Amino acid sequence: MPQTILVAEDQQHIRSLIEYKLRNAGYTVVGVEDGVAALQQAQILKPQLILLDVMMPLMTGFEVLAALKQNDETKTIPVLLVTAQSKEEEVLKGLELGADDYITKPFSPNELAARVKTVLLRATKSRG
Amino acid sequence: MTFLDVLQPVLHTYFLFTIGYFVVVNLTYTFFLGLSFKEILYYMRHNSFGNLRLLVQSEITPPVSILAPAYNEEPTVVESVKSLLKLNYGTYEVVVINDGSRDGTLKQLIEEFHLYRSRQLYLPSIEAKPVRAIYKSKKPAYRNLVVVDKENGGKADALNVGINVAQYDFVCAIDADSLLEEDALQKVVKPFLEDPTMIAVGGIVRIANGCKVVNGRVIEVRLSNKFLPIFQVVEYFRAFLSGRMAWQGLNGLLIISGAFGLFRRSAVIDVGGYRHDTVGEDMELVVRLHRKMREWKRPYRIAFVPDPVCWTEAPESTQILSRQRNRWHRGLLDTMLIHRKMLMNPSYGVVGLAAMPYFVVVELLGPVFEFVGYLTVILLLFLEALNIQMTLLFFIVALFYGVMYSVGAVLLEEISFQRYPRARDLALLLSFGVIENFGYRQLTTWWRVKAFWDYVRGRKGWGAMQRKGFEAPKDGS
Amino acid sequence: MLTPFPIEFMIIVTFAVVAILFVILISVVLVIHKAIEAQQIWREDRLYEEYSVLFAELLLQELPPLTSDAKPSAVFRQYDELIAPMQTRLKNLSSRRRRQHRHVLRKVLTDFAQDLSGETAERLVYFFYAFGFVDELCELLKSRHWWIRAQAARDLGLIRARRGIRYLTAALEDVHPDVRNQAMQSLIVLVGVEALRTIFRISRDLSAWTQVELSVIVMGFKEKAVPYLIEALDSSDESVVFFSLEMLSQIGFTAAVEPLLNLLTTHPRTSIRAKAAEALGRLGDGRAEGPLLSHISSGDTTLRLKAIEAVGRIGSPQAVQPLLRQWERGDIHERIVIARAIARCGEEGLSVIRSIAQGEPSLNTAIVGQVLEELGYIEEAA
Repeated sequence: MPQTILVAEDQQHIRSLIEYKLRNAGYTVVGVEDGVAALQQAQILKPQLILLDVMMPLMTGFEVLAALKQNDETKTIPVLLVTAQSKEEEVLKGLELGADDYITKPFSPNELAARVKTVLLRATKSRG
Repeated sequence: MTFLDVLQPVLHTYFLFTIGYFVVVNLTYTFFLGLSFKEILYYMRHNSFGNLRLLVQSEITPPVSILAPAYNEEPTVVESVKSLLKLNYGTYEVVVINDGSRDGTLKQLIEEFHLYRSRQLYLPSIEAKPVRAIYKSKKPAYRNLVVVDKENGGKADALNVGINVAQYDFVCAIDADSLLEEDALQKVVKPFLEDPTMIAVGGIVRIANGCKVVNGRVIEVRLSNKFLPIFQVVEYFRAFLSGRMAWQGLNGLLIISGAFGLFRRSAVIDVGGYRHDTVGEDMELVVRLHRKMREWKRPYRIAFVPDPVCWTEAPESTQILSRQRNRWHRGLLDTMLIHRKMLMNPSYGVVGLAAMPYFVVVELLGPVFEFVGYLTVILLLFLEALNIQMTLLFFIVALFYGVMYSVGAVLLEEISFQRYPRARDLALLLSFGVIENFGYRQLTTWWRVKAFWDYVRGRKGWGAMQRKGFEAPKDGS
Repeated sequence: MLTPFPIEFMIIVTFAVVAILFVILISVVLVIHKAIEAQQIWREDRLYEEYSVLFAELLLQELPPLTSDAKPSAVFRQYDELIAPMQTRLKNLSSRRRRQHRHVLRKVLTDFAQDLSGETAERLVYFFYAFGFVDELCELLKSRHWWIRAQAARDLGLIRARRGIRYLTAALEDVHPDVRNQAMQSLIVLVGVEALRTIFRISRDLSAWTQVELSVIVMGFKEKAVPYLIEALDSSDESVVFFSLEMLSQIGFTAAVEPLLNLLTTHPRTSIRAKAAEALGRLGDGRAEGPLLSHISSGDTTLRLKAIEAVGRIGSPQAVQPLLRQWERGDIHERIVIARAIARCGEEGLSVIRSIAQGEPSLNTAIVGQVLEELGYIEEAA
């Protein structure tokens, strides 16, 4: 069964790119464009991984992340943050809130795919 | 010959005069609206290329001294100072000037910020009332706080002391109850950096009534649910977005609100600081800057940033509002009288030939003409000689122009900053632009006419303005 | 009494009509404009979505591996094949729609350029050239409107189009400061730290704002920028020299000491000599002490004060006596500066200041009182 990844990114171009890349890598991908939708879909779909952009309308990535970690059903889902530029505070704040890894823009799509793979592997190992 | 026969030619002349005045004023307004539109468009484009955050990152950002005068502000002073200390900017200091408060303002500050009497020397460049002590904080977190305790001398005097104590080249004068936007300093400093001849920059002051305020920051913009503040919001839009923006385009800006203005310290010292014998010290300073710079033939610029930088609490009762307007109008009258030499004087360029005449004829005397008009109508009505048809028609036209101007200002806001996110608020603002012509406008006219009488009687005082602390509105309000 | 239709009445009627028509006209125009704009934005959004999906695929599609003996240009031929269908499609559109499509396409690609790195980014740069966007942007740099020129200068940097270097260099002399600033930033992205040489050579009258923008870039390069900053000290433009001095003292690289000393002693302008003194002080290098001491009694106030401050920053005990001699001559403002400098000159300086503080209360004791407090030696006044 293919693994499901939820991609929350408000910028259309980068969302299409991530979706294409991950689909080609064999995952089922669901894309949403704001924080509120991300939270809803996370609860409905229970994806294996969530890719979360920090700068999003309605709810920022941090807010979504905090909400995910508070809910028992979603707190085990690994989260990969996408941040603009490598602002140290942002990265630290994300990791503190419980993100599993982060990737900063500009990024290489191959690197993104590799990180997704590692996070998923780590998650499956720790679970079983 | 009856009384009416004598009166008729007089009224006839006044009528013609009114029509002429009306045409001139409305053409000016239309011109201003167009000019403001152009200026705002330029500003928006220009702003999209400069990254203001660089001012926080760069090592060579010029430091700024914020001057906050405080007089009997015990309930709010600690909160205000704390929010001032949290601005987003490079190096800056906050100079609080306790203007001989009779309540516990100073005590509150000393206890909250762990102040001690500093040995810093007080070397005045501008004459002012004596300073009792200069305080600094023992806590490193408040290293950029200076509190000056001085003898009471009014706001102008307090600001002069602030200018004397300030250690940096740029001074930002604010009101004790101004709520600054976090990036306010970045926005007003930029024009100084782009133009070395810049000596003063003002920004838009917005009305905070109804907004959600947390820790001295406006976090959600909403309209008040009371009538008076909404009228004032529309008034402020008109004054700032179309009035001041247009004047700054002509380098004839005569007012920088006392609630927020950034000045080059040396320029203010050169012209002698604030005058303390006038109620309109903020306007008087700007006019004097224009005057002296032109007399000394120094190239200079005074600019206006159409970005909202500061929020202020507007009066919610007619009594306090009437005092405020009365004071503003006396200040305007006083400033114009002090600098009457500049009026229509070509050696003062655009200020003498355009800005001053505009302020005298439209801003200062406008209410008088309007008032006389209303009186005439009443008089004629009493004599049963009123041409009702014509009066009504005239009023309709006047209404249309008034509305057009208000609506234009609201639209300027819509195309530029869109600070009121809710459609309901926008609709409310537009309709208040219409409603204000029935009642509110007449009320302000009356207050301003009365100011002449008070001025002659020698009432130059401030008229106490009650302040209440800012509170978060209850949910659902 | 007034007749029913006097001339005034007619005037007012005309006004009323004009006013009403005017307001109606304005509202109608506004509404129509708003509607058209909304529709256009909607259409552009659709197109944007379409092109994002299409180009996500084109950017990420795996290409067949090249044989080892393939020419370096073979990869470009592969790229060309990728976008060929898209180009035909664009060609078949009407000229108006083509302009619209190209506009959106450029926006999509520019947005991608901001967020991507690696091989994908290289492919993206090629696409920019292949669709003619680079030439288009270079052409836009000659637009009549400054904001279009500024935007083009910014985009050329974002898409890393090296062909734009020549045009951006020319844009360093644009009449509008925003265009010049964007050109500077883009050149640095394209060329790297070497771009500073061109920038310093061509730029005139850097505004303080430009200096702020440049300072963040220069501080990013740190030591790597030093050779270019030293070179810029010879510039004939005062603002460039000022900026370089400021940056050199911020970076604090000792190789700068010799050229700075040279400026301090030989430059014809006292304002620049004062700035050089300040920079030397911040570098805190002992070699500068002698030359600085010879300026602490200069006739030029700014230069004198800067030299005194700088001597204090270097802080060697030998400076105490010369500073004390100057103290006798100075006014109150100058004495504060001198006292600060002396207090920093080691134990010796500090003890001199302390002994002044213990004298009879006078202006002098007040001055050193303030200075001692500033330096954290006493906290509370009596």
